Amino acid sequence: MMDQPSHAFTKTSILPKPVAPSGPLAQYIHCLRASFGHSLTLMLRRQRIIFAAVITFLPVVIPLAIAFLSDSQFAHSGMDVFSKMAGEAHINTLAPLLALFFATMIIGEDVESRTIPLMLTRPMPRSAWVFGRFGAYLMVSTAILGTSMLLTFGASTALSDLAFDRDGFEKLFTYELAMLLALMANGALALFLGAVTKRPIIIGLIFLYGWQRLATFVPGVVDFLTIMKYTTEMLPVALESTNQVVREEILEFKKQQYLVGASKAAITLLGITAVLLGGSVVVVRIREYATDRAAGT
Amino acid sequence: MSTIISAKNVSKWFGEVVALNDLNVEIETGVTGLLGANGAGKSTFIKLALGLYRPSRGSVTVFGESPRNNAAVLRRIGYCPELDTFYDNMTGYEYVYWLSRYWGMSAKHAQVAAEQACDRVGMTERMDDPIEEYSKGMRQRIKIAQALSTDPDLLFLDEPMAGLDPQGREEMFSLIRELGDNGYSVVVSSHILYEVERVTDNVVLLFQGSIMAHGKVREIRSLIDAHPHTIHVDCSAPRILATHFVQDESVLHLDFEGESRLVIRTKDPNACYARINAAALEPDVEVTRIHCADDSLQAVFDYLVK
Amino acid sequence: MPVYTRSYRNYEGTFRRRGRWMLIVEQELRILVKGKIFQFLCLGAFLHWLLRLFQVVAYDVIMQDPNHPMAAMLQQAKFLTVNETAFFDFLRIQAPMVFLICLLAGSGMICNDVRNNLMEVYFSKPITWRDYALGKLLSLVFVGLGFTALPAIVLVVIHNLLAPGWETLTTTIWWPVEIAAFSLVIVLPFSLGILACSAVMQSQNYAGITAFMILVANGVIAALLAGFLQEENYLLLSYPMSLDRIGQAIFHQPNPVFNLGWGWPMAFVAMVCLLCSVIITRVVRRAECAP
Repeated sequence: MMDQPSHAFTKTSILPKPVAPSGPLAQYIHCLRASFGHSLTLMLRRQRIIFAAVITFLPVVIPLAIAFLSDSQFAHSGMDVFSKMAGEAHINTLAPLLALFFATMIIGEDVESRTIPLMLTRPMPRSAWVFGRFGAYLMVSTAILGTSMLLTFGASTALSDLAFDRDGFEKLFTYELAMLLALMANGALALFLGAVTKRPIIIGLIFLYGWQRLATFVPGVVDFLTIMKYTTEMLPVALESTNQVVREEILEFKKQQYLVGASKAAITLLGITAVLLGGSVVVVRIREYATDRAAGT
Repeated sequence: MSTIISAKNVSKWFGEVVALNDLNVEIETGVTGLLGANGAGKSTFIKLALGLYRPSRGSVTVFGESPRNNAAVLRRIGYCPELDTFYDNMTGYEYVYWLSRYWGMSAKHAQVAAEQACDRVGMTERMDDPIEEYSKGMRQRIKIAQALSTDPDLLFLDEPMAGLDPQGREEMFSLIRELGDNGYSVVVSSHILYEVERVTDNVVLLFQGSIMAHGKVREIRSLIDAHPHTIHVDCSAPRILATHFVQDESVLHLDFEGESRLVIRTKDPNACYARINAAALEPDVEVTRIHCADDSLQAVFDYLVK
Repeated sequence: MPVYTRSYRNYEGTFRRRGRWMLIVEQELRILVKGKIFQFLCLGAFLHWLLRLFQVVAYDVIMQDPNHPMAAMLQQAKFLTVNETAFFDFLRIQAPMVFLICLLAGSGMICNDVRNNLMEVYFSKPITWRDYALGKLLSLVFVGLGFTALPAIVLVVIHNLLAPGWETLTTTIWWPVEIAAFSLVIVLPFSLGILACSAVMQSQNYAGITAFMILVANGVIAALLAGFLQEENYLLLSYPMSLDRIGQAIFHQPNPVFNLGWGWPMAFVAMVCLLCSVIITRVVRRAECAP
């Protein structure tokens, strides 16, 4: 046992005594804000964000290309173009890409740059650290992808059947919401992979672009084990829709494919996010991240 | 004095490699030197005390509690890692600022703390420059600043003198001594004994994951009295001098280094010195220098680890 | 035995004048084969090869023998036919695997050396930037060809061994050349692209995802553009589709993915290779010349 359980020190501070917030909740919020602010600062300062933005803004080109290059500009439904762009490009392709680009490195970057011992020796709840960083990722990726979707929507209004009206905005809002949920679920998965493995990108690619694509071809309920299943279910219009008859046929066909519905899909995506974020916190608490693991060092 | 770090039967292994083996040690307040060659287990011990590692067996307590994921303990600890651990695109000031924020300080307090910590390590002029532009010494100082900014009760400095120039070392020595004088507890790891001797005489000597010795340097010295001493004698005729020791039972080993040195390993140094004095009177021998390797802590270390 | 008066002595062997890049290749391959993910991907690629081996054996042993009890059943399975299409498909399916393997092996090749100050170590030895860049590139190319050309050519050899008579040999005489050419078209740009990303980015994870982002975004945008404008030639803008088009030309496949001749996609691939080579050269030479 200790000689002096209180471990009182007769120390003369050479620097002013720091002030810690009083109360666990205040401490938690302080740490959450610090983690968020720090991560946001790092993300915004790096030039790679420009690269991510350039890739993310590519879909805006498509409706513009249709408007300027197509001989039959008004034969294209702006709504169909926007739906397809938002569904296929923004939600099912770019959201996982941005998740891999930003979220895998939420923890992975600290591991790679060997700053993780500094993080883990701070007196902060691990969950505050993880959630703060996840919040920063979500903010940056939503800002980029959301703006890209908004611009794609704007460009699609140059075609027929879509305008800046109430219907159009409702549709846009639904897609933006689906995109946010896609970013959350994919981001949580990428964060989890970054916490668990040193090569999260490869494993993430295998899951998001290998397994998810493969599972959609397998009949039955295998695709329930993908995130794409639920993000697709969130979309208001069947992706392949071209006209009313085909659309109804597709919807009928989709019903046979174990449709879960938008609300259930949204709840599932939130559930996936919560579970994976929780899993990441647990991993961060359990795992020994210190880098120089060579014996005796 | 009170115990601040207590390790009981601590073992830590990574796969098949044992980094620490059944370690029992209690470190008290004040400055403590953690000594050992590369691979002795110094950094592993520090990481166990910081809660970065879980002991494979046994327990480590700091301030009476387990440090792992324990905010109450970590709030009182500062850590300066051995490796350069910096974020890209960040100035020295921002580095200290953000790490103070993570400690739980408000933005306003963190600003003041970062400025004062940078000032304390003499980095005020360069604190707004990107860390990429810093020299090795500046990097070391900014790492110390981040550890100091939260005014910890216990400071772990892992190889703090590595890469510093002589002036930087002197500044570091005086900073550690000042911290110790002001009642801070500091654990300094190093494999260079001279460095530790400059800041404390209280050492923990690690060797291959086990404690070799723990206590004051002079206490450790007394421990080795029973061990053989090595005496180097420079003379013109070492082989003739050696004949004086051949029959001496306390002499364990005789060796020649070059044409002019005799190395004597003896259990009874006083008798050996008397015999050397007697031999030195002979005209052929011409002793020019007698040197005992046990005069420095290095010798203590060498004895203990060999 | 020589007696040395100094503890330090100069190297007394002969210096390797040529093929110093081989050392880099050897070193990279050694590191790569130890990785568990690499071994897992190897297993995946090997399983595909096993399936193709089954196809070759089934075709040559069973389908060619009209008296075989399973012959009638297998005759219906046209996809089992061993022809140029089968090898084109084999390589096409291997391509994503090769990309992943190149990503795994190559994304950290240059940026990790820069991060760990290894460039200085390399260039303090008698290794030039050419040896370094060539060594890194060829290690990826060899690995890539090991998953494409090598197993495919082995299948061609097995096919020839199992097939009766010499007719098969005359039919398949050019297949190894076609396989090698298409494999190189797949592997070389991938390798250069990933190395270029590794040269530009500071982290191997970012290098990997950057390479993948470019590839996926490019493919999706080209496909959407071609779909909406109902002009399949826009698929030329898709890098994977361009590769497919070249493969179709090499293996004499009907129904090309787009109507433009193979020269256009070839020019596209060559341009990508050139751009990537310039990036790699600039970064590596800058490291070599750094004060």
